[in-house]
Amino acid sequence: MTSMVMEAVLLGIGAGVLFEDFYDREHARVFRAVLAFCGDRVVAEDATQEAFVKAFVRWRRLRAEDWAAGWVMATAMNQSRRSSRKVRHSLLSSRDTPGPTGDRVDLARALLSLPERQRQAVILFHVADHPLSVVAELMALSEGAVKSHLGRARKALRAPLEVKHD
Amino acid sequence: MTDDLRELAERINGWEVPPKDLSPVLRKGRRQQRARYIGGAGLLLVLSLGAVLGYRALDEVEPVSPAAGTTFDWVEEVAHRNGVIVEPAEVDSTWKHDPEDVHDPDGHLRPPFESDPVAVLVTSPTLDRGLERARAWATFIDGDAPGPVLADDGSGGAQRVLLTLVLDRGGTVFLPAAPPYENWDAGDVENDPSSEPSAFWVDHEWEGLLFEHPSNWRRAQLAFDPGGSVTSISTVTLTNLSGLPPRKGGGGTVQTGYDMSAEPGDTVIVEITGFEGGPVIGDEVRTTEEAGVATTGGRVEGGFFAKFGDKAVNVWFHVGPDASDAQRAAADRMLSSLGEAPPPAPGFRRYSFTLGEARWGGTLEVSPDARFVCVGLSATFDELHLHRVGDPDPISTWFPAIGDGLDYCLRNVAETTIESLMFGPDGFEIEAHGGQLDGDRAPLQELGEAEHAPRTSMAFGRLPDVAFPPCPSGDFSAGVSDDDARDIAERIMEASNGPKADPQALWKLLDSSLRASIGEFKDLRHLMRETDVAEQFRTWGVAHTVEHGVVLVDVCRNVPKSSISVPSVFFPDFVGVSGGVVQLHLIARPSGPKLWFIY
Repeated sequence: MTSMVMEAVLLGIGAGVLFEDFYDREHARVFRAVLAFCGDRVVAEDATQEAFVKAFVRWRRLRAEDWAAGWVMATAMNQSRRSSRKVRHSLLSSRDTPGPTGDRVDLARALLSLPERQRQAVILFHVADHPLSVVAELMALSEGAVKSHLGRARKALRAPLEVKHD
Repeated sequence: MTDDLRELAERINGWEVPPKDLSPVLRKGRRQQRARYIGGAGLLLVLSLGAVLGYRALDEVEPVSPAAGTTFDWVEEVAHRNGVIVEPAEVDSTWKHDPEDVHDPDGHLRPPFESDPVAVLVTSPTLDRGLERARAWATFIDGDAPGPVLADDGSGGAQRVLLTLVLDRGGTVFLPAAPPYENWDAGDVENDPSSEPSAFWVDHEWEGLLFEHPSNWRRAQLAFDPGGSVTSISTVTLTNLSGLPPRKGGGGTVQTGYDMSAEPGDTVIVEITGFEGGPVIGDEVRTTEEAGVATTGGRVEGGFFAKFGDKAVNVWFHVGPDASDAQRAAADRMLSSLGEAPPPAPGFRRYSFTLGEARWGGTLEVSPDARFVCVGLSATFDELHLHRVGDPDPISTWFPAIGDGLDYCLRNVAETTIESLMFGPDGFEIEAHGGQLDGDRAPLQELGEAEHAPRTSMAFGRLPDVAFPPCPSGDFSAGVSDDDARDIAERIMEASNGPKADPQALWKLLDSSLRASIGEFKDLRHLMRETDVAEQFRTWGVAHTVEHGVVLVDVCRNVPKSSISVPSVFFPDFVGVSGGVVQLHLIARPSGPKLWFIY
């Protein structure tokens, strides 16, 4: 058990969290992160629900963990991967797709252009605001590898975002 | 850029969210919980009874060896596949850990279904710098863990199963129990080597400083948590072998105050000396030799390059002045594993190259059939390219860096590269881009072929060779769709008497080449016995089609990537059965299903 987790347990943080409260608090964050990740609203909704189902099944173990929200987020992203393969360009190709619109599309386009691992690192770190150590844990990578992903992602994002500024 | 990302985050966090609806979550969750409980009970029942009862109905056809009947049998089987020996262990009061400690040793791998930990003695010449009957708790974890590396395939089946050995002296090693790299990266992006499973790594964390190394110690690296208290290190000593909490040295002193008597390996100290001002290269290295001699009287045995935040460091190994011969031998063993790459698998050709004005040496290994191309190099760079001499354009193999160095094997290299590499190193160069090696280019020098090699290499990124039987004979037809593959899988299920696994029916479906790849009928039946563990699991779960070529192209190099589809058929269905690690992989082709291999 990591010291961080141990501390949380000793302090009783999270130990008594009800799943309903957890869902209520994290649902929006998870959905938005997954939507940013996969670019498809329907896929994001389904993946978010599936991830919370998994969290519910494991809640006895998850509830005391300070990374529970991140776990659900990462699980939902994983869940969206297969589905999003079929529809991953729908955001770009169809205006009927119930995804982000307008200037949000520009941002979504920039994100969606990234390789999955880079995209996931950016969302977990910059959007969901998880610490680097937690992102590394969620992605099952070393912190160095996460930094590498973030660096490449920033580099890749720079161009489209500069275009946006122009 | 930071502002842009902040703005990006703000916009995303302002996106409209669908209405919350907890009821379907609870409904589905409760249903899965019930299924899980039933499954767990079923597995335990079968594990308990399987060895006793066997599968007598099948025995009436041909005699077979006893089926796996206990968790230990599974542990032993998986360990054996990885070249690791395990024996049952007697637990007494001297064990430091209880079984309750072992399910989540590092806090990031969560088995949704826990197999009972079993006490074992582990022997391996390579794991964790060598283990000889080391005490450990063994348990299985399945792929439904945080992070995409251990991704759920969406059909309820685990895509990766690992055997976890929690060493009683400290540390954890993981052994793949199922194909570990099937889903490294989904979608049509190229395989990203940084997706390699961190499960093979062991972490030591202390005050924001993270020291991690792969289970075979072939590479190590440092990192620090920007939110932690460590922002600058002058000298740090870590007892990286003992499992004792690391201590911080001060003012260049080397911490020697540990009780090193418990185990010989514990006397080896890692001293990390940090440097201000960026990378440390060659003669610029301010070695710890002086401090080491002054404080311990020991020898500076060697070291390796690592990176700490934005600072480069050298990690040096010392042996304390009072070390015994056994302790020094332990240090030598570790140094030998670090100083030289472990011997390649049989038949691997090894090449060397030097970059950065000959300051950085690297190795490149190619398997006999070019299934694997492995590179080891500890330096900062962005990419390595392979060139023909005089050709400015790289051939298609390139090696993106992982953080601050590289030590991994590529699979599924492009066919042109395979052909090139198969005919020797003459005329090839390797070129680096970015980092310390930007623009450097050097020829490959052949080092020859290793005479001896471990049966299974746990080198970072290398698959256990034992996982792959020889290619079956016969040509493969192109263009089998996912639906075709699924149909074929279903045909097998039907031919096998519906949901009940029937080895005889399956055997009839196989052609001679595939039968030969399995062996005899009794072998197939034995494998199927091992998996047909419970009545409620006699549904063959058909998982999704594996990415074309991911599993097989590197095995059969004469098979174009686009020509095959590979449905993974799990039997029993994987839902909730972390112990059921056996998978049947099929190659689909119009003439009929082809059994490939069974884990």
